[in-house]
Amino acid sequence: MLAFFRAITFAAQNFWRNIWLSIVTVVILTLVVFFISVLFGVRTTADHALADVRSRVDISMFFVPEATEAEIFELQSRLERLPEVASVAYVSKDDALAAFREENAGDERIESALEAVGVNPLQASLVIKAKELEQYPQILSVVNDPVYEKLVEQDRAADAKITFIQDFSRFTRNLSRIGLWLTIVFSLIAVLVVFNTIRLTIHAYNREISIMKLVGASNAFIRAPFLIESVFYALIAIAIALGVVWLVLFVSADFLDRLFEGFDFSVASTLWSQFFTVFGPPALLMLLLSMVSSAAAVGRYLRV
Amino acid sequence: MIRFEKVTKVYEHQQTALDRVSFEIAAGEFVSIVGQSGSGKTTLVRLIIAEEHPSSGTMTIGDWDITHIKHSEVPTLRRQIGVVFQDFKLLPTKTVFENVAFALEVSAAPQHVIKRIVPKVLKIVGLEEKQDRFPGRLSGGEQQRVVIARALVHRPKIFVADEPTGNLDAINADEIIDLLKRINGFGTTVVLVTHNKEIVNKLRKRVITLDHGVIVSDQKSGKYLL
Repeated sequence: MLAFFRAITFAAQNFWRNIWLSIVTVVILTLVVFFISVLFGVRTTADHALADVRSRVDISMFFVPEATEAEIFELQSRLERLPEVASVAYVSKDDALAAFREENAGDERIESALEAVGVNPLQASLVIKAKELEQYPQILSVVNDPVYEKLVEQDRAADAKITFIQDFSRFTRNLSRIGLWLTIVFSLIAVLVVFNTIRLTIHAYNREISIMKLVGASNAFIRAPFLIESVFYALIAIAIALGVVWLVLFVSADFLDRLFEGFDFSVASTLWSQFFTVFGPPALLMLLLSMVSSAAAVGRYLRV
Repeated sequence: MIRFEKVTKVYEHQQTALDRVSFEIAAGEFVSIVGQSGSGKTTLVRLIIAEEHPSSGTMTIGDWDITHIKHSEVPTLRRQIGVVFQDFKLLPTKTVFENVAFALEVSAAPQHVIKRIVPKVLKIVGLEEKQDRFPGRLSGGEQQRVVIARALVHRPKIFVADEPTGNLDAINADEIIDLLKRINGFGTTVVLVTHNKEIVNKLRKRVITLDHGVIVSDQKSGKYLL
């Protein structure tokens, strides 16, 4: 216990008595934590946005006028039992007409055209949402069953739509993968920056380490204050960086929400509510990295 | 106390620093080891504090054979030997008090013991008024006295001084040597490594002379021969 308190005292002394070196180290680590936190924040936002867009994709299956509700419900039930299906919503002819009228309320030409036709020209439909975009072809293959084929209106553009959905799915997945790789690459760069920063800081103590060895200090006694000092650097850097991130989010919340207007989530609220989930990992990484770098750097001088 | 038996040290490129050196230093002796630059004096000091290992031969300190000392045992050895270097080797970001106290802290001495012993040792070397100063604010002679205080604080049985007056003027050099004589007066074995003729001749203590890694003379009350 005495050794531990001495190590903390030495670490604090080193930190304070080499204040400019300490400040430079903290500044560099703060920039790294801030940069990686922004990267994680952007990635989280992008993932939410992509997920939101993907969730809006659905397919409407229109029925011939002769199809009865019982037949439609049977198909609906069959589709709902498929593991790939997230939801199947039935839109009756009347519901479709009501929605159409609401969408075009105030347009007299539409209203007069409907009156001229006299009957409801719109078809009943099933709005199908898949759990994954790639699963639509599988889901729609159910309709190839002769029992259902006669009920569903053949859509000549269906194949093109499916192809578009698949391309779109591939595009969003690749975007997400690119985001992941960018995060990994920049995180690795951050690891190198942190490692070298701590190594250079320890190098400044090279002569002192050899003096301590000559006086009879054990390796553990020499190493401990440097490990603790690296924790000081990391904790201060994390506090400043995350404080700045929080402030930036606070100040730019409205701007970010306007930027993502139309999406079904609020950027600022999402990042605030997941603050420690999103920004915790970069902070922990910084803490671990500082300690590992310090141990490795001091170890190098202890072996000499 | 210190026994070297046919100790040889050969560095890379077949450079022989010590060649079958044998001597024995009894407890409480004051021995000067002299020689010109490159004669092997510093190598000898490094072997005593286990900074180097001999290429052959045996070295004993007390009953401890340190020839093949384990890496983990080196700190324990160094806590039992007081060492003073020409370039002082003080910790620049610690005060005089903290530099001396460090030697006790490495052996987990309690704080109340440190607060009791360190002022006494600083008084012996005449620096009790300057305990809050940093090494950068001290003269060369004062820095060397801090180093001596740090070396003394463990009450070592052996005190090795490697060119302790190398960076000092004549007056400071004399003061340091006087301190070493006082330390020897407490019963501590003192090994003074130097190439300073005047100091050796004034001391009139045992003198071991090295030349090109070989002992050429070992006189009980010797003079600087080379």
